[in-house]
Amino acid sequence: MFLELIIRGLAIGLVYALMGLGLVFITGVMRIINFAHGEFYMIGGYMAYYSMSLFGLPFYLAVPVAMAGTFLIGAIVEKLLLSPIHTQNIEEPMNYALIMTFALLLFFRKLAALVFGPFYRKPIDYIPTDLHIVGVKISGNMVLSGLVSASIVLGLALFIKKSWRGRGWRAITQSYNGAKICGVDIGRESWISCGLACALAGAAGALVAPIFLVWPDCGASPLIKSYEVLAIGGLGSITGSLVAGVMLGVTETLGAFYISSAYKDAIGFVMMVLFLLFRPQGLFGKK
Amino acid sequence: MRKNEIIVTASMLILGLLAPWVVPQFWVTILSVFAYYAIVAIGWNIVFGYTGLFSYGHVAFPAIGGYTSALLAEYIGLSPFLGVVLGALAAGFTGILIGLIILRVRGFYLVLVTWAFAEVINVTIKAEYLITGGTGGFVAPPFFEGPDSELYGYFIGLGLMLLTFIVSAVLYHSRWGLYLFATRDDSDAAESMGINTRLWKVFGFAFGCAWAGMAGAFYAHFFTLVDPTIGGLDEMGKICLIVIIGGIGTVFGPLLGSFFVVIVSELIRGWVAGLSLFIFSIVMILAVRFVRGGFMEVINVLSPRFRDKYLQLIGKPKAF
Repeated sequence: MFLELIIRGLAIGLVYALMGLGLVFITGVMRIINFAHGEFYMIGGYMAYYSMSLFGLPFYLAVPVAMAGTFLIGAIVEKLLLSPIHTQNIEEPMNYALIMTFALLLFFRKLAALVFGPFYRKPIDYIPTDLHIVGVKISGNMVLSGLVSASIVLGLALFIKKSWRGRGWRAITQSYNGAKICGVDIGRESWISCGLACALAGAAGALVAPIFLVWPDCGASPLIKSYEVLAIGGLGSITGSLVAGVMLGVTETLGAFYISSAYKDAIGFVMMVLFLLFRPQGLFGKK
Repeated sequence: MRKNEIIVTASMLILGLLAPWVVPQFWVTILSVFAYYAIVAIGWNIVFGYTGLFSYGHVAFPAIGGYTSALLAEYIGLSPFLGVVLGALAAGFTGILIGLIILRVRGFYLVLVTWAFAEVINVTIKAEYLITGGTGGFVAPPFFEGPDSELYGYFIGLGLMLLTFIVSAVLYHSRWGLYLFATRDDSDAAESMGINTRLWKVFGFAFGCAWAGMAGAFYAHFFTLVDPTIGGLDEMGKICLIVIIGGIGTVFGPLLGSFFVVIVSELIRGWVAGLSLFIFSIVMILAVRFVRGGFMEVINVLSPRFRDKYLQLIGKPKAF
């Protein structure tokens, strides 16, 4: 039983890490608090569902379609709404960009409810059979979403580490003005990174759509999880978000089983608050 | 208080007292809902607009106030009037505790901590269903028994709203208000002028939350039911929206905003479910993008022009 909980938590945790990484990324590069992050998860889920049910795409095409769609929406949102008003100052309490993303959260949620209706949608199972790993039975969808999440996170980490564009992103994270002086085109990198962060959320939504289903309010819980990952892992740390996501997933699964499933969502919150109070820089973040 | 604030308070009092005999019975309930939102929004305006703390967990305080009052009335038979006071006190003390915690965090970590607090309150209310009734809600006694209880409840709501408004207006023009604004605008500069910013942050936070708690207790006894949705994310969206489209950090903003939001959402209720929040989110996006100050900015820009027009009409020279 214990081993099954651990493996289940690991698979969920990797998806949390993917969501959290998007948030870490957008917070680092754009210095923005994105409340609409969970809504891109929802949009990704709907895109995967409709591209499979309406156009009959197989799942290995549906997930990239969802990623591309959310990338476009994220980039458009950044260009039209966020870049004109936000000030790159995360300590600023009167930051209107935060309020804007909050308005976007309501907008996307209510739009989805109006367009798609308040129904629970379930795409066809990606891998319909159960798999056996070290004697534990676990659904194929879960394994697939965990593995794909892990590979996306690792791929992005490699890209940020090695490529010139990734170097530019790291420069913006460290010093906004310094990056500007060294010739990083901040306006362009902003919309690319916003789109990319949204695409990560969309990928997570598309991957877990057959497990957790899709409905207009389904972005609420992943949004909370990704903020917990951000707070625990630390700002601007990819390793941190990976470790924090796995930690959160395993702790929650164990807590739901051994303590109380009613308080499952409270466990992550308490962890987040404790981290914010006693180690504000997170596990791997710098002060 | 300035002259225009006294005028607005007096006219609201007169109109509010006349309203039950002018408008249909049904609208008395809507006006009470308006009073509830106005109080909570004024509270959030004190927390965010005056003190500059973006609290994302403000709706937890109506839930605390409402459940405190309703539970006390149920289990020890406390009068609802004392319950309103105790609800405000309970929310205020919780506000002091949370305020002391959020002194340690800045910027958007503050958003996260207050949000986490609101969610934990919500989860606790839902999970302890044996005491609180869970998602089904908890029945509270009305202010007055009898056929006219709704009408009396409305008058109580009106009185509480005017009280909140007067206090927020007095605070705006007082020395304490200046301390709060200084803390909001530049914490370090305020500190160097000898203002105890830690004290004023906690004060601003707890003070705004206490009003919210009072509003929650009023809500519980007016509708004789309190359920976890008054502490939900949609409610926080509404409060945020009310203050943004009314005008952040102004005295009249929350009143104007809540009047607009409550009345408009009532007028379009019958059409499609969930349409009102969709329209409001578009209004909010446009407001944040183009008119940061909300209604108050529009009024401030237009009012000198109207005054000149008016003076021209009555044949007096322009005011300088």
